[in-house]
This record gives sequence, structure tokens and C-alpha cells, in this order.
Amino acid sequence: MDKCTPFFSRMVDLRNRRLSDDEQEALFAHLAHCGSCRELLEFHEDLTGAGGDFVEPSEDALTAVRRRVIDAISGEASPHRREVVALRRPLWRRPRLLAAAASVLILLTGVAVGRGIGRGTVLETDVFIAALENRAAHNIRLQDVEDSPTLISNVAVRSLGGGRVALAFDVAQHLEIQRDENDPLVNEVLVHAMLDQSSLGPRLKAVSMASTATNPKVKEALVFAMVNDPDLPVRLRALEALTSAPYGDTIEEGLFRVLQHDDSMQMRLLAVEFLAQREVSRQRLLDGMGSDEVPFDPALTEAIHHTTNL
Amino acid sequence: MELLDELLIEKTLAGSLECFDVLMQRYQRDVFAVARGYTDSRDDALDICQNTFLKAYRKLETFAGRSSFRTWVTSIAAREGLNWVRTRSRKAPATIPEDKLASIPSGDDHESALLEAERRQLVIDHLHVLNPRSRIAVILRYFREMPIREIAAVLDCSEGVTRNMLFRSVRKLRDAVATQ
Repeated sequence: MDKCTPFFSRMVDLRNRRLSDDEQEALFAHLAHCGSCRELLEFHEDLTGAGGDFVEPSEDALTAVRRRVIDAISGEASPHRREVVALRRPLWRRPRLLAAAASVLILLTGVAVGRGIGRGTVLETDVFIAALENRAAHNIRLQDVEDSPTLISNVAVRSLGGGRVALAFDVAQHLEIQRDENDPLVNEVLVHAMLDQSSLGPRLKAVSMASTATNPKVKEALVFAMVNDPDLPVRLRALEALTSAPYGDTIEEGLFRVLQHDDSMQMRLLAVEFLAQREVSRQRLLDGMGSDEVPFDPALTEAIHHTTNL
Repeated sequence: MELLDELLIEKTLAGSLECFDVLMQRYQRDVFAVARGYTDSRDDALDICQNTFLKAYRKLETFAGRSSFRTWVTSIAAREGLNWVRTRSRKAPATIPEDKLASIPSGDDHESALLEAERRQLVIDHLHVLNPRSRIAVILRYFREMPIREIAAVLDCSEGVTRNMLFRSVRKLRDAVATQ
């Protein structure tokens, strides 16, 4: 083997920054006294650059090829399906058939499944179930399951007889991604956080972040949080966030519900103040403040009179 | 959550064409790159791709997992390319397409961009100085960044032989380009 050959092999790795410091140092030392390899290194640029034009077909052309292949093989029997059952572990096949009956709640399916697989004719649910099977097969120990980013809940199991089981379950997939603050996915996640999260912290953060959002569903979620959230800090923050949102019927209806039902006097007073600023009449406020759930409060009446006189 | 090739293969064998579609999407550019090593025509290369994937599907049961699926399907593409060469006469080397010339920027960068495009086109034009195996090795290594180990598996030779083949091929290619 030529003494230059080992260094030549490293030139591609140098370009792709895959060399260790020692390897890089050895290569540079060789290049310092080997003109032939220096020329080859320069030639590498043209060589690697030429590939882009040469081997990159259009996406449409490749899609057409795949479609023709799928059309051609769709009428054929799958290759030796029966032998597969006998030769390979049945573990893969059973969950797939069973899971086909499963009810799957796919959270962020597009992101979870689409990344790395590409677009095309793939049926996402089928691939998603296959991904779950893949995950299941690689979770060997209990700890693996506990550390898994996939959360399975709301499980129902039913024996079908003959060794078969019907499964029904919800699936949530933990993801860590970054998006622009106006991205539709951000809005979607914020809404879910305000609707579904069980802990206070994420709800508070979501409400704070949603205050800059103009998306209609985010605004509705803020109203939902202001009216229904079990924790006062969240309801307060939601009300505060809505003061900077475009005012409308949805917000006004929510504020009247706060006025009628919220057990916090602070919330009810803030609702009065908010509504008064929007020039809601004193009479409407007085009519709207009482309910069967929350007793009439003289202090609130006084606040209404005071606020609407300002 | 990216599916393992093995699982996609398993699903395909169980009848899921969608999973085979995912496999095709994953390796279509490798297969196309090999196909381009045997023909200057993109359309012919796409035909080789199609034949490769059809053959891969029909022979999928024989895939034993001793190599990666990428290596296996690329090997099929290499054989399909050879068959194509045997049954058709080689066409004239490609020239710079009109659209590529049109994409070259005008102004101060015009000349350097044109020179760069010409140099790269010269490389493509001179790939034919290499024998088919060497050409595939160069394409896989430099255009698809395939590891030496996998190229060796595709070409059914040792890694040492592959390294030497690449070294000699690139020098030969450089010399051919330099004499222009």
C-alpha cells in the first residue's frame, strides 16, 4: 500500500470534520511535505462538489419511481408471508395485529412520525403503531419503560379468545423541539397546556406565554383558564393576559361567568374593573353579578357603583 | 421516533407496502447515485432505481441482516447497473445542461462560478475513465459519503482493497481532468 493511502482516506473525514485532533495533526504533517497529497486535497473540493448535481434527482421523479414500484407490487402477494411467521419472532406480528384494533390518541403525530421518515404515501397511523412496537421491543427492563418518552394511559384490555387480546389505549409522546413563537405548533401546545396539564407550573407558564398570542383558539383557551382553572394564580394570570387581547363576546361572556361563579373576590373585582373599562353598563353588571353558587356580596355592589362612576 | 430498518422490513414481509415505501424513501438517493454511475441519463438511472426496488421487494425474504439494508439494496443497484450496461450501449458523456448554465450567477461572481461549474462538470465527464467498480466506489464515497466498510460490502471486497481502489481512482480522475 502506498504510504500516502492512509492519509488520503482521511481527506474526506477532514472535510466532514470527523477527524480527531491527533489524526488531523498527522494529516497536516504529511501534507506539509507531500505535494501530491496537497493537490489531491484540492481536487477533493471539485470531486465532492460535483456530486450534488450528479446524484440529486428531483423529489417528484423519485416519488414517481416509488409510486410505480408500489403499483407494480401491490397486486403481488407479500414475499413469503407464511414463512415469515415461522422463521421470525412472532413478537412483531402479534402486537401489530392486536394494535390495529387499538384506539390511539396521537399527540403531535406529524412531528413524532414525520421526522426522519419523510413525506409521501405512508399511512401515519400504521407507521405510528409500528413505532410503538419498535419502542416496546427495545424496552427490555422496567427502567426502560419508565424512562420511555412514550406515555400509554387509559388502557382497556379484553381477551378475544384463541390467544388474542384487544387493546385500547391513549398514547402521548414526549418531544423536545424548538419553534418560532408564532408557529402553529406552539399555539397548539400552549392550548393543550392550559386545558390538560395537571400541574400548576406548566399552566402558569403557558398562560403567560399565551398573552402575546393573537390566535383565536389560544384566546379561547385563556378564557377557559380564566373561568375554569382550579388554581387562582392561573385564573388571575389568564385574566391579566386577556386585558391585552382584542376584546370580544368570548371574553365578555367569560368575564360575566367569573363575576357570577368565581369564589375569589379578587377575581370578581378584577372582572368588574375589566368590564367597566369596556363600558359595560352598571345595570348589566349588577344584573350579572349574582348566582346561586356565589352569594350576593354588598362589597361587590359597592365596587360596581364605584367603578362605573369613574 | 425513527423506525429501525429491521422493523420496516418485518412489516413489509407482513404485507405493509407503506413500510416498504419508507424504506425506499430512506435509500432512494443512494440507489440513484449508484445508478448514475452506470448511465449519463437521469431517466435511465431512474429506471435502474425502479428495477432495483422491485428486485429488493421480491428478494426481501432473503435479506438475512448480515449487512445493513442500505448496503444490501445498494449492492442490488450495482448489479442492476451492470445488467443495464450489458444490455445497452453506453451513451455519450453528459454536457452541462442549459438550466445549470442559466443558474450560474451574473456579475462579479460570474467568472469564478462558471469556472467552478466547469471544473465540476469535468469531473463528471471524466468518471468514464474509471471502470464500473471504481466509479461506484467514488460515487458512494464522495457523493453519498458512505463509509469505506459499507462500500467494501457493496463491492464485495476488503476495506483495504476499497481504500486502494479509491486512492488510485481519484488520482486517475484528477490526472484525466488535469490533462484537459
